[in-house]
Amino acid sequence: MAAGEGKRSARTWTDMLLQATKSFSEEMLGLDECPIQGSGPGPAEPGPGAYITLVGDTGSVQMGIISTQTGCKQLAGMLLGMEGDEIDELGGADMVDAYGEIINVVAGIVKQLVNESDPSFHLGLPIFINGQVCAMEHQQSIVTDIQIGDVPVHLLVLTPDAVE
Amino acid sequence: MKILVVDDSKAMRMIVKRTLRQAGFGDAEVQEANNGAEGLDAVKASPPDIVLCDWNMPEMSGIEFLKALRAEGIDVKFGFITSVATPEINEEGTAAGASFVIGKPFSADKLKSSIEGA
Repeated sequence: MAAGEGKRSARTWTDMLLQATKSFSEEMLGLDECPIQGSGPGPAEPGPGAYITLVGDTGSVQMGIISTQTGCKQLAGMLLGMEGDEIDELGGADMVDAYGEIINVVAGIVKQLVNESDPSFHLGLPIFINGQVCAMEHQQSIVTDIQIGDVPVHLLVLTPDAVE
Repeated sequence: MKILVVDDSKAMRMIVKRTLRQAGFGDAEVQEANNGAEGLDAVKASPPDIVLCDWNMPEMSGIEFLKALRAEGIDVKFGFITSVATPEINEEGTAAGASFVIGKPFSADKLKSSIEGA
C-alpha cells in the first residue's frame, strides 16, 4: 500500500466518533439526539475523561469522551440504569469503570464502521484520566462539544497523521 | 438455569444481568467472573448452563478462555458479548466453539434469542 493510502483524517475519525456516540446514546441510554455545540482543534478543557486507542495497518487514533466529575457520574449512572439519589451515591471506582465502558462501546462501534475498509484495527483497553490530553508535534486533534442528554461532553480525536 | 457472566468491567456485568432480567431470565442463577482465568476456575468449580463472556479482557481474554475450556474437554455452551463484533471475530469465536457473538450495544431480544438458540 502506498504511503498515505487508506489513512483517515482527524475529521473522518471525528465524524465516525460522533456517529458512534449517537448510536450508543440511542441504544444504551435511550436518547434520541446528541446536539453538536461546537468543534475546534483542541485541546479540550481540562477535566475527567475516558480514552481508548484504535490501532491498525492504515493508521491509529486516540479517542476520548471528556466531561466534568458531575457529568461523568451522570452518564455512568444512566448507563447502569440508575436515577436521582442512586447516581449521587455512585462510588468513584464504579463510576470510572462504567464511564470506561462508555468509551469502550463507542470505540467498538467506530471499529465496526472502519472494519470493512481495514479489518486490522485493534481496540485497546479504556483508561480514565483526570486532566488534559494535548496533541504532540505531528499529531492532529479535534474536539467536538456535544450534549448527551443534559450532560455536556467533549469528544476528542487525536491522530498522528495530518491527512486531509 | 445457571449463567456465568465474564467481563472485566463490573458495569458491563451489571448491564448484562439487567438485560438478562429484561430478557426473561430473571429466575436464572447468575455467577460473575472478572476475566478468563477466574471464569475457568468458576466453570470447573460449578459448571453453568451457559457462559456469557467479553472478548477483550486483561490476564486471559475471552477467546483464550474458550480455547482453554475446550482444550480441557469442557463443552459448556458459550457466547461472546463484545464491543468488537466484526465478521472476523464472529468467525474466530464460532470456530473455537462459541454458539454466538453479540455486539455491544445489544438488546434484550437479541440476548434472549441468542441464548435460546445456543
